[in-house]
Amino acid sequence: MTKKIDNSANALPSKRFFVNLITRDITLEHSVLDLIDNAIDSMIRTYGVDLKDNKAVFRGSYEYTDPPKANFKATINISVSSDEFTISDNCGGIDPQLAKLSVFRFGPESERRGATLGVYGIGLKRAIFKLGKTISIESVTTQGGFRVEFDAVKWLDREKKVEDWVFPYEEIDGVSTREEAGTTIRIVNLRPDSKMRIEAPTFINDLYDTIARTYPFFLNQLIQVKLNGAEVQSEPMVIGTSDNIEPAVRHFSRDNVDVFIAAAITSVKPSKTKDAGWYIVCNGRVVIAANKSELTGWGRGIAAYHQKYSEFLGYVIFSSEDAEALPWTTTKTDINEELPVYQYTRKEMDQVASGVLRVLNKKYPTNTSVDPEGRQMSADAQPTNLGDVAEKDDQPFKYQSLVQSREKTTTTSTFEADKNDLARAKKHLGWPKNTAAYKVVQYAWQYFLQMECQDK
Amino acid sequence: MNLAESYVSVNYSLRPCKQVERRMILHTLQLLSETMFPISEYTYIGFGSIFFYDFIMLHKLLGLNNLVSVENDTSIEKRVHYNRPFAGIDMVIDDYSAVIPNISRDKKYLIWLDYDNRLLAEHLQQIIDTSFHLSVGSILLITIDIEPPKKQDDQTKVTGPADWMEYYKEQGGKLFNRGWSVKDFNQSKLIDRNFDLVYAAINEGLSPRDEVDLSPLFYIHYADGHRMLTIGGMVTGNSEARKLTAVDFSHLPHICRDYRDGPYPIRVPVLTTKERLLLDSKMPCADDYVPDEFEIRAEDIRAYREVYRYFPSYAEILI
Repeated sequence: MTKKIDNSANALPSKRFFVNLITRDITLEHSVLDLIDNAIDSMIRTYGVDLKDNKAVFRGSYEYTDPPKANFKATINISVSSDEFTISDNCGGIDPQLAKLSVFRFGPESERRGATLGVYGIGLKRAIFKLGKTISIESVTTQGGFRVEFDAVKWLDREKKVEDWVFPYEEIDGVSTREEAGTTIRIVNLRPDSKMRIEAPTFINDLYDTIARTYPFFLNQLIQVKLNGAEVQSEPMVIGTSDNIEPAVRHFSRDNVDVFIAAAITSVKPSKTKDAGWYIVCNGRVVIAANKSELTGWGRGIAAYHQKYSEFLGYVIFSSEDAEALPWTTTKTDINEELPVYQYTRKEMDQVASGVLRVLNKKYPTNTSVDPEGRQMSADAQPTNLGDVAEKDDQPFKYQSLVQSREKTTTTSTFEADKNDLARAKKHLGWPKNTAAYKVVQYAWQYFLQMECQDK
Repeated sequence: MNLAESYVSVNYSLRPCKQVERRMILHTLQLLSETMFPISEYTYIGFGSIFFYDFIMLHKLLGLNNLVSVENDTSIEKRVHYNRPFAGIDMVIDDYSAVIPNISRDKKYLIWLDYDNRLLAEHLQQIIDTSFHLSVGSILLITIDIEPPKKQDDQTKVTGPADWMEYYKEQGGKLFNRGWSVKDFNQSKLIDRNFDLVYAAINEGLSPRDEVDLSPLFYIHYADGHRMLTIGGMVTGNSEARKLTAVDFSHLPHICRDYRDGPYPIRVPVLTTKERLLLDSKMPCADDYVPDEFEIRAEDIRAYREVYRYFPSYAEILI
């Protein structure tokens, strides 16, 4: 009997390794943002939203090549408690065939598709494993629907065979209209670390603020997000302009990425340091907000941030059909400085910013403790939509000071006048002895001009 | 003084409602010390000011010996020392925030953050930090003024719910529920909003700790002038929570075991000594009892019945 020789060594990947890798460096809030990105991408795919024209994004007037019905409202409902996490949307759903073949793979789908937010193919997996143990994903489209339900702990334990690298999948009925299509992800038996974070009262409010800060270009325009019933409201992305303030504008493309830079001053009075600095947006998602660090050039290509710059406001808008070409990290919460497109852009940002900082420096010539709010440039500035600014051609920052410095037309001169002479003059004029000396001199000057210096 | 408005206090500086509250809290602590909670061994931290009423009561009536009074007004340092009733009281002339890091998990505390003015961001931070440090079995009380806030720059300007919401949004920061809107800040809802913020602060401090909760004990509302709110409870793990459930609080109506029941109102009607003696002799009386001897509303009698055991008497002594 010949001994059966096994000519292979096990190279099966460890499920726990992958899951640990992808869940470790992302926060719970940003995992939730990944799920919102997926819903937004679903909207974009289902209704053919054209993100190539940045100006449309800024104006909040989205163009659909295949628009939804008139009173359709795309909504993402997020419900968070210490027992359960649910995110439910009506944004078009996940195609069941795609779900079967590629959505659940640990890695991106092989087809690139439009300007999207879902980049690395791990957002969904990362979020569900981070959140909890009992997982249910249900999605319905006009092409049918599916349900995937499993226990994460048991799934992670089964990794002996290639066949274990699947999720249990069942088909369910689809829906008849796209407007009814959508996805619901429900997780119970939350993981202890996620549960502890969720139990802190500030978590929900932090999550609300993070969503508001990240999606100002989408909220209440393309989609609506409700967090535990409260509709998330965003501050609009505007910049200050006026008759005498022109923002700096720069457009260029590089490495398959379109870049638009705009810098000027804030229209918010009084300006607040916490809102000042550079904002970086990738495919409509705000990645970096109010940055005043070396990442965006402060203390490097331009001066280090100082309170006198609290009116500075700059936006860098990156867009690309290839989301992987954008300079964001895998968590989409930071910038990958290494990427050449960002290295190049930062230099452009420095040029643009220095124009504004030059003017701000002139306003506050000495670094003293004078309260800057007393001399706000933003007093004239009106909030202007970035979409309108994006229409302008490249231009530098211009600020026309409205305060006219008055030309001084008089001069003071002093001299020592002899007291006896003054006394004589007062007597001659018939003025009292205690008349102020300057009155005498003033009279004498006027007399001279009138009598001897007539040529005007 | 309009006697029909029984809640006008006779003398604000004597603050009868506050004294009733103190005595109710003391009674509760006495009950707890009789049932497996060694209250007399707790360290008391409070804001004694120059009167030290709570210190006197806790030391004399409950036997607490570890007493710390915190005063952040350095300009009255000598005055607070002068009025210190017992040498055993440690005086700390500093902001309460300086005391928090010294709270040890190896000791049990009774801490009364009697802020006596409107909720500020720094108060909320102190509540978070204190909750984080307190060991199980410790008792935390917070008293705040819940009168609607006035505008900072113009104290005379009439303000409304929108302004009040702005105030609490600014002070509440991350604890301010993003789902709130102006309609949640009507005057009648300010009790709930103040409670929500304080409760959120306590939970924020407790949440990183495993299996530790706040078991409710006090949720009291009164007005000696300004409307005030006291929120209190015991920091508990599973075993303290069980011990607490076993305690019979039935004859203490001011105890709150579930904050959703709402606050317990203390109302102290204005009565003369002669009137009080008569009423006391009828206590506890029927719901609709009114004396024949003088005019007084049935609801005032009922209010008196709630507090008669704790009613302060004020006497003038010629010394």
